[in-house]
Amino acid sequence: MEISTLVQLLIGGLLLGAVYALAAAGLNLIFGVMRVVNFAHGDLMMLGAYVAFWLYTLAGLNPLVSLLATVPLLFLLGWGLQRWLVDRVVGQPPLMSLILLWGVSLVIINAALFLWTSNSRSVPAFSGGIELGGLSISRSRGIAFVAAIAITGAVWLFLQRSRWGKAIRATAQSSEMALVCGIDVARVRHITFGLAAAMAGAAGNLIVFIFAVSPVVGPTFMLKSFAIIVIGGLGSFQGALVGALVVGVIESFSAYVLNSQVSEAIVYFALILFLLARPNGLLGARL
Amino acid sequence: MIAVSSLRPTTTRGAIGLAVGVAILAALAVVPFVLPSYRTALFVLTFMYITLASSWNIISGYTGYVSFGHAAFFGLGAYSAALLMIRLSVHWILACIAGGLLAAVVAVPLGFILLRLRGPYFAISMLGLSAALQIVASSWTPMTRGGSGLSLPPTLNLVESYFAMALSMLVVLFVSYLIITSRYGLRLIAIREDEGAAESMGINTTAHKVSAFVISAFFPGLVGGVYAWYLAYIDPTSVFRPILSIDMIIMSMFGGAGTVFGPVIGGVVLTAIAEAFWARLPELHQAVFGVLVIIIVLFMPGGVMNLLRTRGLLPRNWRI
Amino acid sequence: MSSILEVEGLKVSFGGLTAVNGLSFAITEGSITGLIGPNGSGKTTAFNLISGVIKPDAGRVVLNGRNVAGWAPHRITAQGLARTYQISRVFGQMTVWENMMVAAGRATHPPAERARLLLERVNLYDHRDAMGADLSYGQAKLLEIVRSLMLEPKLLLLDEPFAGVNPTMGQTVLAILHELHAEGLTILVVDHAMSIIMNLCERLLVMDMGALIADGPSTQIQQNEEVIEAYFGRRGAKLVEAAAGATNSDGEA
Repeated sequence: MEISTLVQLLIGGLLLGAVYALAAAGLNLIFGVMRVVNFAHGDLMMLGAYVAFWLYTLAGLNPLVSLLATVPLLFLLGWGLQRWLVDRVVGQPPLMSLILLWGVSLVIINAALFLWTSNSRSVPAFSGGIELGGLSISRSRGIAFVAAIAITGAVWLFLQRSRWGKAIRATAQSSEMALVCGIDVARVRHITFGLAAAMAGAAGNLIVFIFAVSPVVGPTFMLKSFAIIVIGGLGSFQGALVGALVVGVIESFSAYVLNSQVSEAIVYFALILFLLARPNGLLGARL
Repeated sequence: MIAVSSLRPTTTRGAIGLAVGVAILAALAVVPFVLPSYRTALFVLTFMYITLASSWNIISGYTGYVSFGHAAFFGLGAYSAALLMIRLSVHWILACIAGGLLAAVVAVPLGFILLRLRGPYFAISMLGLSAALQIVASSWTPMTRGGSGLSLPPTLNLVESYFAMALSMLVVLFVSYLIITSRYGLRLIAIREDEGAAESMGINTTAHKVSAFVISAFFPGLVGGVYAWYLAYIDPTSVFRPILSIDMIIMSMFGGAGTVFGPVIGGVVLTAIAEAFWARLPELHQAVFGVLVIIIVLFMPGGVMNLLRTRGLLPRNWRI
Repeated sequence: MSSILEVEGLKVSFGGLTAVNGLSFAITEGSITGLIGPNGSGKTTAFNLISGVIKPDAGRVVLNGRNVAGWAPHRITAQGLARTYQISRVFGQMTVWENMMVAAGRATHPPAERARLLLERVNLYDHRDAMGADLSYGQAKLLEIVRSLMLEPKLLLLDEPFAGVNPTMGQTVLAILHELHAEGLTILVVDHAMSIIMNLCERLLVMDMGALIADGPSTQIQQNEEVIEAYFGRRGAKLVEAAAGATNSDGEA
């Protein structure tokens, strides 16, 4: 393999990784605050992708602009899921919420299949490449990268600076203490899930102009996000970024050398490896 | 006499149960000869699902390691048995048993690796395993003929398939019963309830978990082989598809995970519903199951058997 | 009298925190010893290291002459050690009877007979069909103790058996421990109920910041300056001294 191909694959993987990071950070947030693994996370990404797709197809709306619709819509959906479903199993072992959200996932996938058929959809809004120092970078990946970084950065700022952001972080540290300090922990959970759903939706919105999406891609995205936060480190926001870059690059390389299907299997094996050898991930706090 | 477990029947209730059981077995034995073939086929399907749900129940219901990808073993058994029948002309009964054994053997190292993971991590790993195996089956074309699948010499022998599935089901139910009424089963439950405390009680949790996992892998492998032989065709999607894993979980949970008859109740009820209402609409099948999962988790996580326990119709520690 | 348990240089750290730092002591067979110390001194961590729940970074745990440091908990249990936990870990979806039966593995007596006798000692035999999850706090504690006795241990580690237990129940626990001690069982107890521990235990080991700061008969330990400082801090120690001086004539503190 030539150096230039190598570098190109690396860059391609890193660019994609940023979008995955956005989704994975959302999954991580839910896990950190509520010890819940959002099995439906990938399906929320899928929904975000479809919002972008339909707005593009029906109204010619630039997929970056459709973020303005995707984010609030998915936030509301996430908020609702927490408020009416997940809240009821918060005290119970994490398996219960996992199974519950898996049920939700089934409903979402099949509703989507019913409404929109199993056809793959894409948004070819940004085609072509950008020339940078002799290398060709896909325009869609480049734009998605910038958008993903911007959104992730905004979320990070929110968590660090705003009142609700701090309340979320406090609850993630210790929900009991947060409660004692007068934080409305129930509302924090609703907002957290909403925020995470919005992040997933935004990631989906960005992904759909990189490659095609269909109603059944949810579980694969979920597995990928899960692999990312395990590899990067559970409970670590920066870890999600690192893990995503690693996964993005693995995917890029194996898709080139083998095929995209097998690269999924490879990501899965990497996940298992980390779960066993280094459960705290690369940057993680504790498991 | 104080029994180790108060659950082995020593009373008139037990004797009645046994009599009813024998009557049911007798009735089942004549089904293929009296009912039309499409109805018999429904029985075959039900037996298969009960076997799958029951196997899942052993590692997940009893031991508490909830597997989201048990179809992995079904597929492994199906492909192994199919390949043995096609390439080496092995007799179908032997091939199916070999399929089960292969799944069980694979489960040993897999169990040692994956059972170190707790709760949600184990669940998702099994899901990934199933997905990965589907990919392997699709990609390893020289062996499995990839997406084209494997065709077997068609026998479509309903009667033999019926009895093969019925026997598998009876064996797994019997094994379930033996486990849950033994000290081994009690130790599995201890692991489920509190693995750390179980370790402190001198229970070798690794040995127990892996053995339960292996037992739970054998039967799906076995019926995977029967499925392949009966349908005379398998492909990666049909034997590794996620809905199979889903069905196992829902049937067991609906009927009551952690009991012997929970998977039976779940298998019978849900297969009947599936046939009656939406065999034609697969999306509806999955969507309704999704809603059912939500309802079960929120309102009846212990399933039907647990409802009977909480209403006082069965003793609180009834696990049969 | 031989040492049934010898802990040598035991050390473990989590992240940047050294929870147990060079802990060393020996327990004589048949003795009843208390392990005390302020919160966070590492007592439960020490128990976890001895019983195999955590692996030490360094050090030895010699049980009956064998170094079991780093062994899996079930193997250490097989060597004759049993322990209870601060918050009782009774199996909720099993009956009291089943809880007892699941612990009976290597027992030499017929397990049913042994279980019945043990349950009767703590008035739980009549409740043998109650589910673990339905027991009261005190009942669960008692069950955990007798359940561990099903293992026929030679050394019993008790983690706060008196915590949160009402005085009557506390008397029951105390009585059982005295009986067990009389029967030859070696006991090591962690607890904060000072007066009970001082009465119960012949010898006290005092931990602070992961290491042993005092080791001796209960009466001596009460007056040990380092111990008082560990609990109350230097200023507090002076207060304690002054108070002890002011009220000392009856021997009451």
